[in-house]
Amino acid sequence: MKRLFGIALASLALSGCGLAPLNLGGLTPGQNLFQAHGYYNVALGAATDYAETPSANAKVVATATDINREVKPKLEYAQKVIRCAGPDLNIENVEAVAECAGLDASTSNVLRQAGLIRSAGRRILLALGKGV
Amino acid sequence: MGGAIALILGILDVAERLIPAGEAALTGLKEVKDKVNQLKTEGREPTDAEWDELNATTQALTDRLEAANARLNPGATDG
Repeated sequence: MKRLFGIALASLALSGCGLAPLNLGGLTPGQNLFQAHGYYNVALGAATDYAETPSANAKVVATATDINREVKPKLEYAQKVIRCAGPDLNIENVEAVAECAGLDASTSNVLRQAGLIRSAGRRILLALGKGV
Repeated sequence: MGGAIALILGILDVAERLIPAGEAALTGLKEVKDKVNQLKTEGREPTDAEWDELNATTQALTDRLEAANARLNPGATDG
């Protein structure tokens, strides 16, 4: 059962949290980031549910917690870029607002952030797969 | 004999806990996929309210995970 569940989690990690972060699939950068964050929440939800079970492995929970702390600034940064630059990632919007100054609003950067967020979700699921 | 029954009961206990977790994850993935497809179909970006909802979910889950981690790893700091 443990092995089956591990395989199921690994499958989720490789499909739902995607190995192809640069493939837009017809999505705008904002939609892509929204999808990455949504998938990340699913992985975080699985980790949280697991962590609250009586037999949760402390090491696995610590790993998931560390990954979550690590990804938090990426989530905040990526959203700030989207909110500052607007859906079309207009650099003029970024330069016009003081709090947005210096942000890298390039499409490649937003997609890179989305990829890092997906990767974090995948790492959480893989950690859970090893722990159960 | 008693050991075999205990083993089966143990397996059922694990299955009872883990299968709903797997189903919840699959349901969550489908919800995200449907939501993004909806955005794509409507040709629009996520609204501020939709971002806020996503962030609120992340924060609520983070709070629960941090609490569980503090209980399981009492000596650890929050980085």
